[in-house]
Amino acid sequence: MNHSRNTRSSFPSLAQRLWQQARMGDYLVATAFLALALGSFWLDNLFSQNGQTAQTARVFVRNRLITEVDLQQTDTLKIDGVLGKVTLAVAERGIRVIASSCPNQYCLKQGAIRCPQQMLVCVPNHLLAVIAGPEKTNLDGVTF
Amino acid sequence: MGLLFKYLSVNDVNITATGNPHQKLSRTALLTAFGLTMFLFESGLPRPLPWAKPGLANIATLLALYALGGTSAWAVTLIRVIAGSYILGSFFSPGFWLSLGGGVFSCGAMILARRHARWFSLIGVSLLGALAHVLAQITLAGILIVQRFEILYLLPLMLWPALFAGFLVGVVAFLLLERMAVST
Repeated sequence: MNHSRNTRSSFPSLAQRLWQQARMGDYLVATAFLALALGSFWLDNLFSQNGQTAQTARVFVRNRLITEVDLQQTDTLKIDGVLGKVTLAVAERGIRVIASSCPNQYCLKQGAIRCPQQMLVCVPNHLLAVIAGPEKTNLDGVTF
Repeated sequence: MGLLFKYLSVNDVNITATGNPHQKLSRTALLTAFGLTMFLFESGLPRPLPWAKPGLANIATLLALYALGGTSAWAVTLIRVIAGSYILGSFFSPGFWLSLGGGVFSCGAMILARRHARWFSLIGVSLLGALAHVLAQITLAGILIVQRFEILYLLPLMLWPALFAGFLVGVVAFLLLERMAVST
């Protein structure tokens, strides 16, 4: 920027011309923008910690509540179903069936569930696992 | 673009329309068409982040604001949003309301900032417009569509592209206004 005075063109560069125009409010807006952009990362961390502390899964067999587990931890549950043992694994804020005594093993294929109101079902064992909490929205998704 | 330059600098050095209402009207119409073209052009561009657009249409709003005044800036923004969504087929869809809200708030913020030219230069006005656009859109999306606080996860992902886009749009508008010999 400094050596431009010695070159044949004395016309200021774009950066110089913009710099000449800069006012106090510009710095304020730029600072606020940056602060908000950086601060929103911090805000997101705050939300992700607050929003998911209370999440639990309820396990029912024959419509009777067997246990309620905190999804924050990592754990393995062995539940007595109608046919035999069902093994549930809690990990990464979700729950899944990892072994079951049922013939078709459909409950394993359901994979892990993480959101409120999602459920795992093993029909032969009369087992139901639901993640507690209100379903806040009545929309599956919005596209536009 | 060539037409824009040619037309805007025919009679006088300064394109600021003074006195003649027809001149102001026709120049507002030209900038509206320019903004609409930019809007349609960028709606066809691939978007790695679906919520982020370069905001090239804001160049037209900035030109109108600096060369012709606040009323023209409102016209350019509102007609662009309404006609643009009509052409794209998203009229009265959720996206239209977000677009309208973002347009109204950013245009309003830019007009207010323009009134205090001692405090804000063109870049500051453009950045303020981008910031107002993001905040209005995320608020509207949160109220109208998602209805969850989790929408705020998107805030950094919206703010960072907007920061760069707002700056670049300001630079482009600055260069154009310089060529048109409008004092910024």
